[in-house]
Amino acid sequence: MLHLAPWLCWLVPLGGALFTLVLGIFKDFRDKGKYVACLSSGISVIFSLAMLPQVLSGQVTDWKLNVPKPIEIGVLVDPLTVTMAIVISSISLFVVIFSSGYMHGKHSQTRFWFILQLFSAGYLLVVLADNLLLMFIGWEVVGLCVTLLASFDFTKRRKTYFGLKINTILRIGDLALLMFILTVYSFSGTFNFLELAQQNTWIIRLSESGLLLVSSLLFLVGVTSKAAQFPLNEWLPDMLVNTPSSTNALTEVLAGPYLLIRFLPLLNAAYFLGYSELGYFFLLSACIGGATGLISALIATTQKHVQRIMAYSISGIMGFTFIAFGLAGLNPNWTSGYLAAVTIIIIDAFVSALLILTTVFVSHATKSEKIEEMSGFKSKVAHRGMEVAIFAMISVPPFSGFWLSNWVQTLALDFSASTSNQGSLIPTNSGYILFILMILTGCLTAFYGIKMMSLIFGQKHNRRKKTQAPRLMRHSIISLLVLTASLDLIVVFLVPQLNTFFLPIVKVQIFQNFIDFSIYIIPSASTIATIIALLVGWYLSRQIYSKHKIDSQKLIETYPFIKKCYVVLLNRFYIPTVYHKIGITTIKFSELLYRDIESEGIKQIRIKGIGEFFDLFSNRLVRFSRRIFLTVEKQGFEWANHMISIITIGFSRRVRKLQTGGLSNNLLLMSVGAVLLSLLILVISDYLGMLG
Amino acid sequence: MIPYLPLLATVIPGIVGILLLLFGKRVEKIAGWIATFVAFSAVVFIIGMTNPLIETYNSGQNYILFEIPWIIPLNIEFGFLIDMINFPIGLVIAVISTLSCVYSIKYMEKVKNQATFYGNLLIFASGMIGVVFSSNLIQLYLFWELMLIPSYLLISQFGISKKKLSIGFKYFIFTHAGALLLLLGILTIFSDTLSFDLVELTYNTSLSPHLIPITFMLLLSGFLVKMAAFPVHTWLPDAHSEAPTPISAMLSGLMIKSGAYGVVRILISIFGPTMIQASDVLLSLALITMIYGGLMALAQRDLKRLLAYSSISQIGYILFGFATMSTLGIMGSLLHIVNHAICKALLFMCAGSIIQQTGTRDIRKMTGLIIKMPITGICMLIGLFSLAGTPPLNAFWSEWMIFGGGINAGKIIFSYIGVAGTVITAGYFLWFAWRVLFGGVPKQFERIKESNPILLIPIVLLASATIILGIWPGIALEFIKPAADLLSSLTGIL
Repeated sequence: MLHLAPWLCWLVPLGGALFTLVLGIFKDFRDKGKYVACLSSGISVIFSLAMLPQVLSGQVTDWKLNVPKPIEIGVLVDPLTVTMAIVISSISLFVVIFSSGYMHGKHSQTRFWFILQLFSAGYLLVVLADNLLLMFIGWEVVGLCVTLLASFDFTKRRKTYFGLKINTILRIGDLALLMFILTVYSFSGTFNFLELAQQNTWIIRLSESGLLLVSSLLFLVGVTSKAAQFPLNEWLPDMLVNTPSSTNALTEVLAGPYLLIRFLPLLNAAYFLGYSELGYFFLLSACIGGATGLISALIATTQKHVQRIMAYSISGIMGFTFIAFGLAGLNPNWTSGYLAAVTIIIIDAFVSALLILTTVFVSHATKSEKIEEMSGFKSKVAHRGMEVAIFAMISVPPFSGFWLSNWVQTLALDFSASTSNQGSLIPTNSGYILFILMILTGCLTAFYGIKMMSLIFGQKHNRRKKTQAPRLMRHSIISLLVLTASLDLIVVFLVPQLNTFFLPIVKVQIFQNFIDFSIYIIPSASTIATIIALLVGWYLSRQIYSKHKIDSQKLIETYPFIKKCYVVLLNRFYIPTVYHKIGITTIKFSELLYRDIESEGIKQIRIKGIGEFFDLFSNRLVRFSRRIFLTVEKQGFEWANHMISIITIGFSRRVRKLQTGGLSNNLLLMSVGAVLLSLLILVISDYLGMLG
Repeated sequence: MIPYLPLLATVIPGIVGILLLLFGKRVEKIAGWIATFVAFSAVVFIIGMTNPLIETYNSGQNYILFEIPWIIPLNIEFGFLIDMINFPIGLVIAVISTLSCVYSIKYMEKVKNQATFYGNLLIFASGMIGVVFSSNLIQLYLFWELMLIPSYLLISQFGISKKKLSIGFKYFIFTHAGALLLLLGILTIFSDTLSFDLVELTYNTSLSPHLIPITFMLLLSGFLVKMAAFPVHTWLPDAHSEAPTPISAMLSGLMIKSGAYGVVRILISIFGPTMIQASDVLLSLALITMIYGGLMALAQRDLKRLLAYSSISQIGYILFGFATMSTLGIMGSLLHIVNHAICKALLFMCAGSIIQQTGTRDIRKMTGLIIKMPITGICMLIGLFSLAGTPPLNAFWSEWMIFGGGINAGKIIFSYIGVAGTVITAGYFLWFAWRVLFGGVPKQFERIKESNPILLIPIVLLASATIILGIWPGIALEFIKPAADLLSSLTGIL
């Protein structure tokens, strides 16, 4: 059974989802969906762990099914897929257990558990698929589940609107990714990851046709949208605000970064083979990550809805993955960047899950999702949970964030140093700019992280009525807290192990032990800058939200510039407004097109609409036929007929005079006629020479 | 028996249809059940051809031909050609006709002249099956016109508004004009080759080069009118929204595909090189049809008109795949003929149920219907998501193949625009779902209930087919892939 693990790992949650639907038919079993979900998620974790021994032995297995081309169905077992599968299935299990408490007594249980399990199955399929096509199916299933979760409370029109918006934004990315996939397939004849990696002729052909840069940019748009990166990041805040919050921990946008990492070795090799257009792609990826980090952190500082802050923090962290990816791609020794990106994904999955579940726990207890209404909340579990998660997020040493952010910052500085030796101005400056962006992001993250802590736990006791959280929620958070804290604190030891684990892919052991890694990170300008940024952000936040020495409200009212900045940030740089405008304009444009072209025509220039062409044509035809009827038929043929009848009648009247009725006269005339006829025959016969 | 199966599948619905028209008064109350049984028999006859067809294909032959003497002086035979191209299309026609009959039993129960309705429906189905299985062009044309007459009567007699006569007239004139162009094309072929026979024309005979462009144009024009491609599409929104819902499902789901079938059976098979030459023009036309139809759908406030315009847009997809003239594109289009037929029939039936329950067609007045009509609502969502290209539903497979085929054929820009254009499809379908199905239930809808179980049977079956063919696309590709390979070998494309 365990040898089927790569299949069963995602098929079990899928089966669980379908079984939940069946249970939903029976009234008495509708609330049993949670047990099915717990069981399927648990089994999925076991199967994901069951793949470990195979990978640890250095084996990479591609298990393909025999299906008619062009369909490809198969699963891949390699260090990356197994790592991602373990992370996703574990987070799913925590989310399911937490949701069992959170959803207790709430409506639409069947639907909820169905979507949740389908979500897990889709996510696992994304990482386990051995080819782009099957991966895309999982990708779309995840997108569908995101939409369905955002519209979960579909009786409220506003919430369903967000479902529509989220799906549309995600679809833009999905279509770009589909274009990339189809282009790759057309040039390579395969969707399979390993086959694509083994043969690089398709990249050569793509480059020769001038499509390499275009297709790589399409790929970037696809992953940017799924990873909630600027400017396609606005779906994530709406998503987290509108879903049943307990599921938010699952929406950690890991699919996009996963795909980036999957293609990193291949694209890096192509870049250093001389396909320089990929350099723009890598640089743009890093810039997107840097911009997203800063923009997300800036917006997060002003937001009041706790889940919206979570969304921006997730986007920001994923930005670091993009930077790591971009810098790794531009470096001939890409191992460090690759490992940095992988480690961020793994650790962030747990850190963000803990942070989200803790905030949901607080929201559930205080019955509010506005951060100001949560103030004064007392709970040791929530407090410790949030501390561990936020300390990791804002890079407090020795928590994971400190190591990981420094790692990526060091990569940026190294990149600048290496390119400055070659005299390339743009890459050198890009490295420094990315470094500054990351430091600023770190400072702002510290600011809003501490703000959250201060507002929730640092205030006087809240008088709002609180609800006792169900035990399952509490247990789930405690388990996740223990796991995350352990991972957080051992990250420095974990990285060399990951390096060994990923050897089949990265081929090089750059960190033999934790000392190698520590030496690589700590003695650098980055460490000092990180700590300064952390202290500045922390200090400002404490002065405003904890010690109240700076009155933020007064600052906003006093300085118009600060007020303007605040309003812009509060409105999230007006990005949602722009999206909304685009949607409305499209609908209005289609209505205009329908009215002016299809139905009525453009009146001003007197062009009839396409729909009216037929009416116009038939009207003209009827008018034309009426005119013909009057002129040709009535005045022509009918007049002619009339004249013929008049002439015939007149002639017959005249001939009638010959009809005397006398036999002798008639015989006389007949005789004359016979003589004349005989003469006529004789003349004609003579003329024709018939008589000889 | 087996050689007669296509004959029985084609003729029996027609004969019973005529009998119903003549003597239907006596069986008025059970006319629906009779029609269902007869249409279902056509399904059985067509399914009966599966094994012989697969065996024939495995033995290296591409088709089964069954002919009986007909017009002996002209050496024309009444025949049926069964191959991998037309078998899935014929089957889907028979299946959806059967489901339309089932749906009509309840949906049309209060309508007078039931026997006339079902009689026309069966003749209509017979015409469509006849078109796809005909082995020669003149027979194809006769069945082509046979489709027109009953469908015209169904619109103008059983239409739902006062404008039914004028709309029926418009429909008749448009499609008849298209048919005449088709006839001219067919006669031009005959005048040159002295043959109507499809097998001979496909495999052995070629047209004089000077006649190819004009013949191609005539035939293409005829097919484009039937497909309702831009700009000869204006008959479709009127006709499909005016017809009773089960007939709309057949018109939108099946009838317009006869034009697409014509493209693949005649233009690609016989005029392959010309199709390749015309590829760019046809791709442009397909893109315009796709995007324009989508934008028009987005502007609609009438439920059935929205679906009608969506059919125009989807026909653009099908035309696109054929116009790429690549194996993958043709495979995608053939698959999309089947998938779109299923999804569009599903959507029209759901729309019909909603209209029947709410008493309105105005999208602006509808909201929160999934609460009151959960089965219809969920099935409708399945259909909408499928046509929006969401995996693992059936239309996803055909849509990516269509555009993948475009890229395969080197039509990169066209394909990218096409893929980008699908965002409009997703946009209007999701906007529609958001508007109609979600939200709170208004007071006037508080008393409405889920549709009658008989109406739900075809809806649920079609939704299930959408999922099954999505999860297991190999079922359809078993037939469609060899068809695409065959067409590729005929035209020498990649």
